[in-house]
Amino acid sequence: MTDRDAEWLRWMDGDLDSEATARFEKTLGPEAIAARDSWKNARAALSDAMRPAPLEFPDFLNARILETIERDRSARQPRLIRNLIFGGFGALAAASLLTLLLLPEAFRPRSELEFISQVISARASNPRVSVSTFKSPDRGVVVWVEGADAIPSEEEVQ
Amino acid sequence: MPVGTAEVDLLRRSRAGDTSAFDGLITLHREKIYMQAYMIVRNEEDALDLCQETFVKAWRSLHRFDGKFPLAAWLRRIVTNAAIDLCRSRGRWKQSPIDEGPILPEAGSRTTPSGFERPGDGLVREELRDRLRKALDSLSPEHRAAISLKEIEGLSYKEIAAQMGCTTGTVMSRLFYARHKLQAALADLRND
Repeated sequence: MTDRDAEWLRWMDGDLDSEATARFEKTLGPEAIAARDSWKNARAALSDAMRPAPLEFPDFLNARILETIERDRSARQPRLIRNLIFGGFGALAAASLLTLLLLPEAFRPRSELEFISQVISARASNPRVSVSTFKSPDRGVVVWVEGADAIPSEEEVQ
Repeated sequence: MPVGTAEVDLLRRSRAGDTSAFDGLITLHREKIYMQAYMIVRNEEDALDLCQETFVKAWRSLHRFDGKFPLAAWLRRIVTNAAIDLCRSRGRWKQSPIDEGPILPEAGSRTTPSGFERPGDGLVREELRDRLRKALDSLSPEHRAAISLKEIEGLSYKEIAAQMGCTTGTVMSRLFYARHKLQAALADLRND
């Protein structure tokens, strides 16, 4: 469809403003303008030709629709229950499978190396002094002493 | 209760599963939906089936109706698409050669009868209606849908595009060719 066709359509429908209408009508002959006016008259006949006779038993249509809806509903009810049952069993089976796969992993004994650090001993002869020692596989041993001003030189980590 | 308020109330209750409320909605819209179906399929039995199908589909999808458009427009869209699909599946219409070429009337040409305007000329009017019916039957369902939405429902190009799920340009093109087809069907009547 060309721009002129679109303009013609808008002109036929009276969608052009007065200026555009005047400009467009200059390009048409009087017969085309008469054809538009005739078309306006033909619209009433078109409406008659397109419309059906009114519904004879409109309430019967309602009854048919509602009956279909009810049938649809009752057909869906068992399907819904069946889906729920299958869905429930499915979820239970999936949960069991996950438990079987993940539980042994959770309870598997881990080697020392998997921990970042490990307390190996914590002992001090003076009750005011607390000593903590940590062993880390890649960083060696850390001795944490609280409450002591200094560590005597004769003491050593055992 | 005003119609709009009544419809909102019926819609709310229908969404909650109340079929008696949905019955009320059917009563409000059945005539228009039936008419829209008929204007596309041109057959009362099919129009009734489509009408039924439309309301059943609407019932199933009520939860998806967001209320952005009026309910009537939503229903009309469902029935228009269903009717076009039905016609396509049956291949009921025959595409006319007039749909294929540029047919803008030249200056001085006449494409619409003027003689039928004479008051009291019942025979010409009946002949006119008959020709229009035949011309409508020969249009594609999309063209018929566009013509009915424009000429009967009085929708704008934009509204028709929204109803038919296509562009405004497509709607204008369909209207252009459909109108020419109808005018051509009446062309020789003016000479009688």
